[in-house]
Amino acid sequence: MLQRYFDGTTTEKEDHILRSYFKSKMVAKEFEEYIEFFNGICDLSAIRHDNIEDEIMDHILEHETKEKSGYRRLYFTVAGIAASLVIIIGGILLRQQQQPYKDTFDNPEVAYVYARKTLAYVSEKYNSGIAELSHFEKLQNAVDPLNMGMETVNRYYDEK
Amino acid sequence: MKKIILIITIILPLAVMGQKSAVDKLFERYANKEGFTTVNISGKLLGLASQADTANKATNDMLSKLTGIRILTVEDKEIAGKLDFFDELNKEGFFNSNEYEVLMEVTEKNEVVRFLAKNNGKGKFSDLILVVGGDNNTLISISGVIDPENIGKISKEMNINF
Repeated sequence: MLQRYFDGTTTEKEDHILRSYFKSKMVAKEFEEYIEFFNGICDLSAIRHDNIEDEIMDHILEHETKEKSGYRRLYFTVAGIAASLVIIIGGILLRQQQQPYKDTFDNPEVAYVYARKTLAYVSEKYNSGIAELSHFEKLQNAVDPLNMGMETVNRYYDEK
Repeated sequence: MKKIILIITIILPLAVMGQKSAVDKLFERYANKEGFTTVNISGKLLGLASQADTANKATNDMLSKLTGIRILTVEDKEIAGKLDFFDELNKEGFFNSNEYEVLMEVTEKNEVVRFLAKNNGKGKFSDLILVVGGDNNTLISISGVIDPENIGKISKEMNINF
């Protein structure tokens, strides 16, 4: 039976018999070494209290929240670094974009004169470009009499 | 969801950086270099200036709607001989983007002026670029709302007033 107990195949009843056997002081000599063991088990089962499960649960929960808060802290750190990087990059880009428009002149009047000069140049070139186009207009005008002649011919054909 | 937002916030500035136009690159490259002259006039200053002088209506009309004028000129004759802003723009892929259309090319003695414009879809230009090649190597960039009708009027006004 003892062998079966250690194999873990005994029933509850048999366990009980064994325990009471070792509790009684009539243990056979060859089994004496087990007395303490069984008494210990008896003691353990006696002081076994219900809140051990709670304690274990508490322990697990505590561990989990610790882990979670650790992850959260890591997430916040990464997000913070990413956000500050974005802000820095944005700032640099904004500065770069604004730079080309740093004014050369402080005085609006000087700037105005320069701008006018520039526009005058642009305008002059623009007009001389357009002037080239006016040749096409002349060509158009030259073709007009021909068109008018064709019109009467067309009308004649339409009526027929 | 959070990841998507994060990715967008990272990509957005990069996209902005990618949009830097070929003209901007040229201005940045040659600004304050020896042999070059750069002139920047901001829209704010132009607006202020246009209020001061009311005699030239077409000019003021145009100036008040501009957001900026930038001019890049090659002063050094030696550099001018080697450098062609048109070629430079071409190298930067300026003509691949299809943003600008070539309005016209005016060829005169020792000078070729190319008009490039970005349409704003309302019969006006949102950006006008003049590439002057030849003896006077110059790049002029005018941004803002530009009415093509006004451009022609300006030189007539100038002739009266000068």
